[in-house]
Amino acid sequence: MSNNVFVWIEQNDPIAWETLGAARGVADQLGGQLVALVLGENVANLATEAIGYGADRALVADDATLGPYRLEPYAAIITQLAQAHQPAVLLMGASSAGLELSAYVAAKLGVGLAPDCTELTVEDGGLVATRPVLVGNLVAKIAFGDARPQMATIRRRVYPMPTADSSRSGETTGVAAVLSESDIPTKVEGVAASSGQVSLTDATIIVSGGRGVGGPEGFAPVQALADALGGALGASRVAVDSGWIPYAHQVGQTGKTVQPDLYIACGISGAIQHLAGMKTSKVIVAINKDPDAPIFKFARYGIVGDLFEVVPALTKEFKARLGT
Amino acid sequence: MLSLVEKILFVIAVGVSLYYTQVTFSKMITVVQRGQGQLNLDHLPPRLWTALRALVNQGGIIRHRPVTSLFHYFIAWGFIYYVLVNAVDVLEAFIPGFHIPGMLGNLYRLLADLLTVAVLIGMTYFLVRRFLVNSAVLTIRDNVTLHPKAAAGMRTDSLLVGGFIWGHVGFRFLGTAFLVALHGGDPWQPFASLLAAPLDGLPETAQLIGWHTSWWLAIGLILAFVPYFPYTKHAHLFVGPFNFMTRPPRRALGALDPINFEDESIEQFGATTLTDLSQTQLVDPFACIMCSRCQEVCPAYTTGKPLSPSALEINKRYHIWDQMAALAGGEADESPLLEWAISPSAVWACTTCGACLDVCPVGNKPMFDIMDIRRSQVLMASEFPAELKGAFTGLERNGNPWQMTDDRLAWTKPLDFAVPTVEENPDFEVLFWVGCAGAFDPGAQEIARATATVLHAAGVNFAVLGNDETCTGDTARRAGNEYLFYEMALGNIETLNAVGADQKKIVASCPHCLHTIGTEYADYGGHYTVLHHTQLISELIGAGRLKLNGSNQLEKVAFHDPCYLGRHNGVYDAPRLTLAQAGATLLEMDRNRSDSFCCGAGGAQMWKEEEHGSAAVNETRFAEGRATGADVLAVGCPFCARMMTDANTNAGSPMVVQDVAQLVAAALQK
Amino acid sequence: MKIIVLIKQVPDTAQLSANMNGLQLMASGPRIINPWDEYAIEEGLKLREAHGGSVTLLCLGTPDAVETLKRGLAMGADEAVLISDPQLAGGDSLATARALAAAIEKIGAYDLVIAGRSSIDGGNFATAVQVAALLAAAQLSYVAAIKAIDPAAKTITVERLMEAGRETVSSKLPAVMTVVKEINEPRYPSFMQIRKAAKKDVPVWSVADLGLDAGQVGAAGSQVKWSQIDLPPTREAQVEILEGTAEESAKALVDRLLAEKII
Repeated sequence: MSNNVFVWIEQNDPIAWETLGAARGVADQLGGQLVALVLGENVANLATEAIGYGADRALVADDATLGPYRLEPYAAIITQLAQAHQPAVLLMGASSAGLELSAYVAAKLGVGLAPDCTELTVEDGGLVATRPVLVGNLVAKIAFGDARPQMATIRRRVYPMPTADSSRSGETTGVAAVLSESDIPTKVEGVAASSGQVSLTDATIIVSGGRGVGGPEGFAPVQALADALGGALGASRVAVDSGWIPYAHQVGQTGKTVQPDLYIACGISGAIQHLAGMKTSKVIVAINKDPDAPIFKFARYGIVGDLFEVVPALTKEFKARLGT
Repeated sequence: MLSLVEKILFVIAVGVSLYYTQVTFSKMITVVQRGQGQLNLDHLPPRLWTALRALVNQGGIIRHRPVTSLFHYFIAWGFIYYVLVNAVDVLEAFIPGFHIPGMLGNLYRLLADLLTVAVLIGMTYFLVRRFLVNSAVLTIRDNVTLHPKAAAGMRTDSLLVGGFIWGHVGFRFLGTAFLVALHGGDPWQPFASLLAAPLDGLPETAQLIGWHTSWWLAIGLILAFVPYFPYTKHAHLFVGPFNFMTRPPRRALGALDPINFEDESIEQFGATTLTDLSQTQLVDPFACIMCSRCQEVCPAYTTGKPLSPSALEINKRYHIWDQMAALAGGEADESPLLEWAISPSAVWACTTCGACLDVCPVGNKPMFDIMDIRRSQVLMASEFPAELKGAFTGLERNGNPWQMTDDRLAWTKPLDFAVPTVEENPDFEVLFWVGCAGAFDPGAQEIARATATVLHAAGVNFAVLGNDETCTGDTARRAGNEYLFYEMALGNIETLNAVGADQKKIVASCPHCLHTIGTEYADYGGHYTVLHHTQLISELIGAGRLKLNGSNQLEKVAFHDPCYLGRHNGVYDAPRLTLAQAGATLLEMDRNRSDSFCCGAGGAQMWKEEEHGSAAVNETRFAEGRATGADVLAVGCPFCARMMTDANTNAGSPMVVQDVAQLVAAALQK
Repeated sequence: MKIIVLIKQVPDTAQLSANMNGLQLMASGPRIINPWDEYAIEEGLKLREAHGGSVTLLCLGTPDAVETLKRGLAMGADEAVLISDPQLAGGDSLATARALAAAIEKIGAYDLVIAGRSSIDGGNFATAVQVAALLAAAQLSYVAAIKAIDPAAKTITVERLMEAGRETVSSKLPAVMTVVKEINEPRYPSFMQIRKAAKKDVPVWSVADLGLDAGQVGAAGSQVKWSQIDLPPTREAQVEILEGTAEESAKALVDRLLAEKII
């Protein structure tokens, strides 16, 4: 067994670099190398980029079967590489792909997995992970057994983006694909961008408008904020009843019940009908002109002001800070 | 006098008529008996008295449509009297020289003469109203499910009945005129005498033929029509009173019947098909006269929803006529009510306000049909508006329909006195049942605080259940989820009895809680004295325990009667009295007291989206309140408060919506 | 179609309140069916309604998890199996997946295994995927819609909800699928079905019944464990009002949300 840390580099997602940044620290503490696993088709640049972001070297599988991400061929390669190279730790970003890929690989390897972690530390030469459980109402420390690699996925935006250093260099080794196309049970038929139509029930971020938006056009800044955050657009019953926005967006007792990590209520007073649908959101932000609006009693953060000023300012700020 | 041949013919005709009457009435009875349960025929003398009252006062029709009702009284009383008239006519025709002698006879003839004309005038009015004026109140909107035979059938039926009455009474009138002409005038029959004048000149033979012909036509029409009765709406004249007579007793207008969930042999809950309805609900279509008074007062229909209670009864009637032989023959009727009787949207549009029950002159119960259909939809088919799932889940898991998990005592925090729980004050005299709205809805919390403030100011020894309280189950019950209601009722009864609430008074500021605990829990062994907070407050004022600034004539206040306080439980005066004593100048909305119009929240509407219509119920009602010119719209129910407040905000009106308790609390002398 | 739905009994996080924190809830709070699993059951029922076959529920848990299975049966599932054994306690996602996979193999041939995207307690997003890995079945995660399914040809096309958008994927059957809430609206069990479900037998399978060794499952068979569980730092219950101009308050809010790693 080595002390090396392997990181899967997801394509087109900055979570790969955040994870690489986190892994850098782990590798340094273990005294091992940080190895980027780059899989895809025509991904030589990605390997170079990974080294720039802190990897010591890269293992690159470049194959037509790896074009768009697919679980089975990716897992087969990573499993084989892990078995061949015996890394101490194998990390991925806790993206949709990373969550399933890590689980699949962990099962194939028979090793332990700590998903969706917010903190990784090294104790006694091994990984200790911290992660929220019970939808954020408890924090668990995860201890690993003897099997290696210890696997974990890192929650998005928990670790900062490392700074790219194009002067860094490292060895890039090509590896072959494991599965041929005929061995792969799935085929990606296409991807439709879903910006602005994120489903409410599955959204982790929701931005909602109520009576305060004043009309159908008033939803434009609310939508813009939702888009900037990659969140879904919600509405109170009044806004729906007034015909400003379709019923599909209604959050509340008689609309959708939602439980996002972040709920931003714009111009919503917080009638019980609405509260019933969103009060279990992890963090509620209320933006309302009326400082006495009941919504403030349920919010963690409140801004008393005109949503038509505050919401665009927020959109601008988020875009600047998140680079979206 | 009839000839011997005529007498023989008459006896044969009576025999034939009776035979067919027996045939058709047996069918009607058999169809009714296809329903569930039994008609209520216990305690017969008071039941007969109920029937008689309904017969004479015509189910209290005069409360609405006064002109039409007046004409109907003409016909109805005329017809009642005609039972005597027909009997006397037959006796006169059979027994030589039979007549009622002396002044009694004079008065009898005078009354017959007057009522004859009254019936003819009344019937003419109704025929003109339906066929010439085509009165809008008699038509049913296109978005309502209507039996294919109903639209034409209703007119045909009306024409038949109208023609029969006109024919029967008209020929009797003509026959009497011939008699008057024959006998050379009768000052006790002024109208018949008027008609007799042009007949005077006819030869006596012609007059005799005229009388015989008229007699046969008048009486013949009866003999021909009686067997046909079950097939026309005219049956209402006796099925209506019969319906009142055989209704099940209810503690309150809309108190629902329990279901036995312990009996595992029951395979049908609620009504899926016609024969799943109770027998009394199958009497309804035979009693229905299609006057659509229920439709006129229905908050769903009048705001454009596809629900017409009268269409439901009319559809049942035409369905039964279509299937009469099959139903009477015991064949299974598999066709679901939702396919021909009423649409799903209509079923879910009902606010259970009870106005249809209250207004029906023949004792029909369309609201109960709708509740039975909801029960079958929820308990059997699990098909109901998706929004209700949240409320059901909230009741199951959190004990309140909003799925709130907050402390049920959080509302007490801003008060400057402690509200004791039953643990803290086990010797309470009054249990204040706060209700889910009072516990969780920020608006209704104000009402709960005001109520507690008033009780505190009056020195009432009260306590609350705190976190031991859960929803009464009203929401589940009105939404058809009887099983969930049943579980909640049992739980609450256990809680209430454990603290001895059955030995004390309970006060509720929510009429839905009041209704459920006070009248419906009795079916599950929970017997409680429940007062509405306005009742208790008005008692306290009466006993001098509250000092109010009543002399300050504050504001003009209109009180909106909550359905479950007023119509369902008959409390109308306490809130008004309380408001007056708090210094309000009372104004009344056009529809008030038992005619009050729902706020739109009842019948589980609060927990779902309003069905599609042309107007919102709450805005319709609020506009009525606003039209009074009052400054304050006073309410006595947290759900009315919510609905009226929302409508007020939408209307951007300067009116204030407040509960009676809030107005009293504001008027307390400091 | 032979459909197997994996379900889990979890603490009802909607019961968290001032009177019940996360630790108390985990220890003794009320239990419910994992919310995503209701969507999995519903999708199974819809497939059965469209294509025939049967829906079997499989749950690994303590004996009282039978209530969760009853709920699923009341929704309309045909059969239910509870995997329950003291040896299973403390299992990580893989140890749990081993038992589930063994149970699926015991049940026999299947077309589709459906599970919720994740559970609200562990939130691992892993167990169903690991079942697929152990069964060597195709895995389709985060399914928001089934676009096409042909049980005879053993093919399925689904739409997966990914960060980049909606990914359309076709796959061979048998497969394991996890669903997101967008996929359907779970039905509410009718009383009639609750009554029927109450009478249904739910077999309980032990570790031995599954042909597994104690060392493969539960804490003994696990490579991760929760070594410590804490409540998150308590927060001021009061709302924090962010003052200033629109720009200032916007900046203050973004600062806080980023600092708290909410976004």
